[in-house]
Amino acid sequence: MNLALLPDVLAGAIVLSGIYLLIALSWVIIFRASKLWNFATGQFLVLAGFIAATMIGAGVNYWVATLVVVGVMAVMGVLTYRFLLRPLAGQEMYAPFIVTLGLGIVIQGLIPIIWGPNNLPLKAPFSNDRIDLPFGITLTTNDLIVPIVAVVVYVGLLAFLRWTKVGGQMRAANESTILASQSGMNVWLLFGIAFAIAFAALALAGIASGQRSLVALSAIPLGLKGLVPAMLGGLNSVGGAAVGAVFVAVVESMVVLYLGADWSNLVVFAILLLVLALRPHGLFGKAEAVRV
Amino acid sequence: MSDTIVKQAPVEPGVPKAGRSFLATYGLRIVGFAVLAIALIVYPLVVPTSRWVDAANQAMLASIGAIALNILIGVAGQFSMGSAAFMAIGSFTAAIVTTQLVELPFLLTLLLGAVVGGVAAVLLGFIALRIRGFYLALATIALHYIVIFLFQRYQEGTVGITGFLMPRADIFGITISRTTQWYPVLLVLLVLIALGAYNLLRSRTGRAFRAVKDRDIAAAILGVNVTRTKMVAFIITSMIIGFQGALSAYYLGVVTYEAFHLDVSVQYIAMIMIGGVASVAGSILGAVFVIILPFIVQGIVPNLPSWLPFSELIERNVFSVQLIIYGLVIIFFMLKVPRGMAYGFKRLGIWLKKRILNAANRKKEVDA
Repeated sequence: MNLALLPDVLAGAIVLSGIYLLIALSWVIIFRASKLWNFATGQFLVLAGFIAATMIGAGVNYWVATLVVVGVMAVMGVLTYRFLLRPLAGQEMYAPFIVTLGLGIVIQGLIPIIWGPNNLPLKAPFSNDRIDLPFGITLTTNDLIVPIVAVVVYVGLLAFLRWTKVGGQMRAANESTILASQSGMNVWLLFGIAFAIAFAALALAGIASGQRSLVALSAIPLGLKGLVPAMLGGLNSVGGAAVGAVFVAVVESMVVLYLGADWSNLVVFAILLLVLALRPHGLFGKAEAVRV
Repeated sequence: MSDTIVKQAPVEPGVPKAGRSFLATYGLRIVGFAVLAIALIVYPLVVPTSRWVDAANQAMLASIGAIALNILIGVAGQFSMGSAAFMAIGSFTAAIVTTQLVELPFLLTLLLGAVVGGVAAVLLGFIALRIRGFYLALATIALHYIVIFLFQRYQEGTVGITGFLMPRADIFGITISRTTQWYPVLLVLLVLIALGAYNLLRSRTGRAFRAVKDRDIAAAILGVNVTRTKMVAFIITSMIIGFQGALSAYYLGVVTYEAFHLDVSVQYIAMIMIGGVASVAGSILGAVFVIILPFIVQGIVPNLPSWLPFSELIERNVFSVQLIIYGLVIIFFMLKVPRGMAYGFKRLGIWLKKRILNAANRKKEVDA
């Protein structure tokens, strides 16, 4: 093992963990609230990237475009929940899973029709000068902005859940949906808010992954890979998502640099399998009673 | 009198009722099966191009895998995304054995594909079947990536991106190469597997599968060994899918890891959801639908009239249009017909039968 590469590994891992954190938050927020899974995560992420790239390409300010895309995606999240997932309440547990798969396929078909077969560049207005960080790590501002935004979102979310009224209600609904609705909370509204937040995080992840390389359909598997840090941290633990994201990103970056990019899927999904076999509720999640 | 008969008639069309002739009970079914059999035999003779025989062949191949997956998911309740991985195991077994080791006869290779699929199920089952409920789907996704990675490495180390070229299939000296020759072979194999699956579901084992799905603790109390039953379901279905993988290796003539994308597993899940959960006939209906859809879209799209809005845009993006339709169909069925096409047809059959019986009885009364 060549230790001289270690700073590069860590530099890559810092950016990747930012993206993973945003995607993992999206899985966690949705699952915590509604016990649902959004298997169109990767497709929505890429869709956000394409919208942002088009707007920025047309001359819209980067931050304005980001805000607009976050808003658009939040609305899409609410619509997805309201019209595709809520009607499935009471059906077999796999029904929402399959509907989101179908939705992902539709988006995958729409993107090439709207944007053509080519990948799009997403230009962020940051310098590409390298900044020195401790331990010999160097990063460009363009890269550094990703983990910073991710951490801001993460801390903001924790604060929102801890100190606001709606956040408290969301925690209550996570504890027991029925008791929450019995005490007068509009649980469906809370689920809708959860979808809005989750899709907003997804929009940021899509923009981040786009400005790191290109906006491309080939980024779709990122959505599923982002589930792995979420599972590792615990699917119902917002706090755990950061630990999961950092761990998966560091391991994946090391494997990619030392063994090759081919190995990245293998190692990430091997982590998923280990988590499922040994501790399905994750490191910080709460084990749930199994319905029989 | 007619009313009472109608009240008794609807359920269980298979059980002969006292006072009703054999023909009244089974007549519709016999006619139905006869029509179906004739249609299946005539089909390859009447279709205009061999493209449509190819479509039917692919649909029959897919039906085999869909039946197996439907037993696992629909009957035994084990939600697996492992179809593509187990097909790959069957295909690569056939490819590796015939091209690298020893050229076995076609039918023996198919059986070997099934056996290796079963062995893999035993090994993977130890990990996967401890995982309950929906987490099993995630575990099989993880297994998928691991299995495909291994095959990718192996393929790149031996034959490279072109993949393994399969030898011609032959049965007792007769070479099968043209699509019209494959058609009867696949039809026979599909019928055998469908009948086997149908009987399995009516056996003690089949009832145990259902018990494990619905209430596993209750099943355990009644003396069903839950873990063993899950394992048996996993092994049997993986064997069928391994068999299908080996068969499709011969049919397609080339085996490469790129053919076994996770989307293939999604496709099989779509088949059983569209066709009908826990139904053998539904599996076939769904498989036919999902496989034929692109053939139909590709047949229609180039001939769209030019006055139609977006016709040019659609023609340039046939593949994407096909994806969109496919995705929308999946969403539509889950939202509006969650029990699938098979159930819809069954309702239609019962309704028709009711009408016919009613009319016959009324006629009898009038005559008397």
